[in-house]
Order: sequence, then C-alpha cells, then structure tokens
Amino acid sequence: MVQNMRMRKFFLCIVLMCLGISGCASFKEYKNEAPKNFRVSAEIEPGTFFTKTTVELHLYRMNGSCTQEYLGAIRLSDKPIEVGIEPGQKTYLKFLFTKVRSNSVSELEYGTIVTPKHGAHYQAEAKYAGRRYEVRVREVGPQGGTIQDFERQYLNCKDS
Amino acid sequence: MHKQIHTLLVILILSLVSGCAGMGYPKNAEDFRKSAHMAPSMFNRVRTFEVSRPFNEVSATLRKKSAECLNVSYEWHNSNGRHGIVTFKPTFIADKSHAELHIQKKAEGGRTEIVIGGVPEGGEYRIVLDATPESSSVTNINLYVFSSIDDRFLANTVTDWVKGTNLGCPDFT
Repeated sequence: MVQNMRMRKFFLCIVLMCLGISGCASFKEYKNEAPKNFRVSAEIEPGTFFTKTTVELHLYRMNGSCTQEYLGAIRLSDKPIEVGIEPGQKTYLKFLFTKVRSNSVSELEYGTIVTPKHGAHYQAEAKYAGRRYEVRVREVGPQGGTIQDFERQYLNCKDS
Repeated sequence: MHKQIHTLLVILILSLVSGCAGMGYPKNAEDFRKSAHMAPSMFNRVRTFEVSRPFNEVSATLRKKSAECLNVSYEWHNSNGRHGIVTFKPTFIADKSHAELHIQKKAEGGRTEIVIGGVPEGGEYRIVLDATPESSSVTNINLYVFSSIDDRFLANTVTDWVKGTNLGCPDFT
C-alpha cells in the first residue's frame, strides 16, 4: 500500500517535471507584431537533474488599475529578444519564474506597468540565481543610458 | 497519558516560576534586540559590521528593496494534504542619522504552535537591522537574526543589500 503511494507520487512528480520542462501546459504565445521597442533578456542559473528554473514574460493590456486582456507570453532565455508593445498602450508586464524540483513546482511573479512612448526604447532583464531573483525594467536613451526605471507593482485585482 | 500531562504541567509551572514565560516572545523591535543579548542561543548571533557605502545610499537601498521584495505572501502545500500561508511584513524607519528595518513573519495553517504571550500583530519578529553613519563613506550595521535556516537566508540577503553586492529579492518558495 505504502509502496503504491510512493509509486503514484513518483509518477506524479515525473508528470509535473515534464509539464514544467516541456511547457506542454497551455501557453498562449504573444503576437509580437508591433514595432520592436523592448529588448528583453534573462539570466538564469543552470539547472540540475533535479531542479530547473525558467522565466516567462506575460503581457496584459490594461484599462484603469486592473488587467483587462491577456495578450500572451514569451519564454525568455539569455539570448535577448526584441518585443513590440503598442505605444500608448498601458501594459502590465508579469515576469513569471517557475522552479521545477523533483517533488514540487513553485512559481513567483514580478510585475510592473509600462505605457510605451512613441519613439522610446525599453529594456528588461530578469535574473535568477542562488534563490534570489531580480528584474529591472527601464526606458533607455539612444546610448543605452537609463532614462527611467519602472518599479515593481502589485495589482489589487484579479486577471480577467 | 496521565503521566505525560503531569510532566507537561510540571514543565509549564517550572517555566513560569523561573521567569522563562515572563520573558515571552518579543513584542517589538526593541524587545527583539534585547532578546538577542539575553538569549543568544536562540539567535544566529548579533552581526556587527561596517560597509563602505555612505549612510544615505544604504538607507535608500533598504527602503527600496524592502518595499519591493518583502511585501510578499506564499502558499505552501505538502504531500500530507496540509497547507498554509506565510506572510512577511517589512517596516522601514529612517531619519538623517539612523535607519532600521524590521522583518516580521506570520504563518497561518500548518502545525499548531503555542507562543507564550502571543504573537505580535504582523507576525513574529525574525530580523532587525540598524544602520548608522560611521563617516561620510562608511556605515555601521547591527543585524539581529533569529536562528532558523530561512532567517539566515534572509539575513544574508539584507547583508548583500546594505553592501550593494547583490540586490536580488529572496525566493521563499
């Protein structure tokens, strides 16, 4: 009986790991069609056989202080990705870190709100190492200098 | 069974008589600092060190990072079907010559604990950090840390913040 329970837990863990690693859970790809104004990159510590951490950027179109429309997500890697967000569109950027271990899956979020200006450029970097995470989202000038940093923001409403 | 209850009662009475219960759980940051000196075995020592950064910078980092990283809750589940919520509460206080950060932690659900005197509002104090200017470019730090592994992880995180060496937020999951 105990052995059966252990076997069930073992298979459940394998399934969870497969879901987390392969990303076969529902994933709506962001339609990256607007003129590219965001450069996004990630720096994640290498995983082990038992642990793997990934990060995705989820985008929401906002109206007022609450999210209104889920636009989709992009899987991030150390290779920078050029993303287009419609200028003037108030957008909630949610960085979702997912940690898959041999016996559990955990997620943590870091969100901020950006309304891109016409002609402006932005950069975002997400890092995870040694049980610490860091996200920086900023508007950059032509030489790459920081014009404005966007602080972390917590939404007090449910995603719609 | 009766013998166990009897033993428990004796321990409780002895605790009350000896004054252990009178000490209770720290109700505020000042109690927490005093406890660190009175009962050092419960604490991961009081860490005192200097950082080569101006006080204003250290204070600004603590203000920014505590608001950004420590207003968090997480929910946990285990394979026995138990679950709970852990909530952290940072409090940052500063003026021109002194800054302090208190970190409280409230655990709901999970195992039942008896805390003599009750838990303060906002949760148990786990870390208190005091920063004062030593000179224009050096800041003194006193860090009071409770003894669990998670507290030490949190202490290392705030130590890196004041040193400016790693500004990452702690992942409690």
